Amino acid sequence: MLKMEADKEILNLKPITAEMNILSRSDGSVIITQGDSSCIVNVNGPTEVVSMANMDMNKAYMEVSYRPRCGIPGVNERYKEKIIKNICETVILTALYPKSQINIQIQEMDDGSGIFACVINACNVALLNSGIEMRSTMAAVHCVLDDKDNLIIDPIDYSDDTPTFSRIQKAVRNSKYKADFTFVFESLKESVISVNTNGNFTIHQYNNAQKLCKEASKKIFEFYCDLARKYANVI
Amino acid sequence: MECKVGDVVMPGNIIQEADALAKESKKVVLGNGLRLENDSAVSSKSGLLCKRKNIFYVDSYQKKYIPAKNDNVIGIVQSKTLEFFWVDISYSELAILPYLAFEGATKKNRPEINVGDLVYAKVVLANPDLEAELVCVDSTGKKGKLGELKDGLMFSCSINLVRKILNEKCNLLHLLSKECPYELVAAINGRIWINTKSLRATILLRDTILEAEHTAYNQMKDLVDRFATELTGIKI
Repeated sequence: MLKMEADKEILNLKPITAEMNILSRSDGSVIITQGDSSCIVNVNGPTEVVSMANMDMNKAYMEVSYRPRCGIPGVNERYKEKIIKNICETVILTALYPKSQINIQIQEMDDGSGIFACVINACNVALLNSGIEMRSTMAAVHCVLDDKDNLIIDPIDYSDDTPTFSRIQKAVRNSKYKADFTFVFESLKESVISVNTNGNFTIHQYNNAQKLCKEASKKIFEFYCDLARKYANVI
Repeated sequence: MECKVGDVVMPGNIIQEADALAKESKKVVLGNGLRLENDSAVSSKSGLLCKRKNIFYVDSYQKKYIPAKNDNVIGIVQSKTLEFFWVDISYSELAILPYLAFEGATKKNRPEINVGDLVYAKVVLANPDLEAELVCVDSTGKKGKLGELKDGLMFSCSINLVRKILNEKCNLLHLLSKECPYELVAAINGRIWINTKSLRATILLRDTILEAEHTAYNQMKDLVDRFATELTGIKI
């Protein structure tokens, strides 16, 4: 069982670094490193709709493309694209840009643990950088349940491992854990806008994980504020 | 979360100061990056919250231009129809520029503008559901500084650079004019047009202006000195 008093220790997130505006020809771009995972996100938009079938008279059409670190995108990437598209549509004020398209391109650089949380945080920073109007910001936190039923936020635990390349190796690596969770929170009411889970867990463990991640997400929101403050002073 | 003028705001923050002013039944104008939601002013971009008289706005970084009423923009004429030109103003849609929106133009006397020409125009209609509408005359029917831009060089930059060089605190354009005579149009849609007597000076001027984006206001003098050295070949 989890003890919330000990959250000082548990809530240690992996160090996050971000560099904005790294691509010269995009409207908003960022490279984010979160411990052992990192990715580049590029946002373009609002641009004209490429295919007339996707034209929406009431809101902007969103397109997300996800490139894995190696190999060609497959079903897994399609699945992630779909989730990211849904999350981004909740935070972006798409109704302000009718008859247009917003493109998000994601390139994995290092797929360590919690890459999905890293990608969502990167999308958020890239959207802030592009100046697209948003309802709120969002923060994703990764959390695992180990075989002794302890919840660990944002684990770094295979620094001794050689880099993993294949999906099988990754599956072996992940088998140490009973379950893993990725929660996405929005900043207004700090409510959950997306959950992605794997493995077996009880409802109690799920609720505890959500509570922990909610606490941890505050740190990420603070990070966004610091980033915006630093950037505002430079330009 | 409390947001004061001069602080950094994030999307979703409520601007209490604007709400308080509005409660005193004073007129409050919400500018760039702010909108009204449930009777309170809410930010929708990240950046510095600024206030001028009763206008609140967010000073944010942006490369993509979104048309707004009364903006002065540089457009590229894309095509002609019976009634108007279609003009590219670096937005997702083309904008409309009617033939009659030029000084002295009538149904018979049409402006001589061809596809590919540059026009400096004012946005009179900006609604996300409709195409933006441009004019090349002011309210008295005079063209003023608007109209076709002949010769010179047009280049794109970030919107912040345009805002920066048009800012009163920035003396870059004033300093440059002492070194070399030039014509310049800085349009808020992230396009700058310059014209000088020689091609060499034009290109140098462009590079200097682009470099100003990451130069502090008090270092503009050094930047212009470097420009002068390069232009004349005389070390200062």
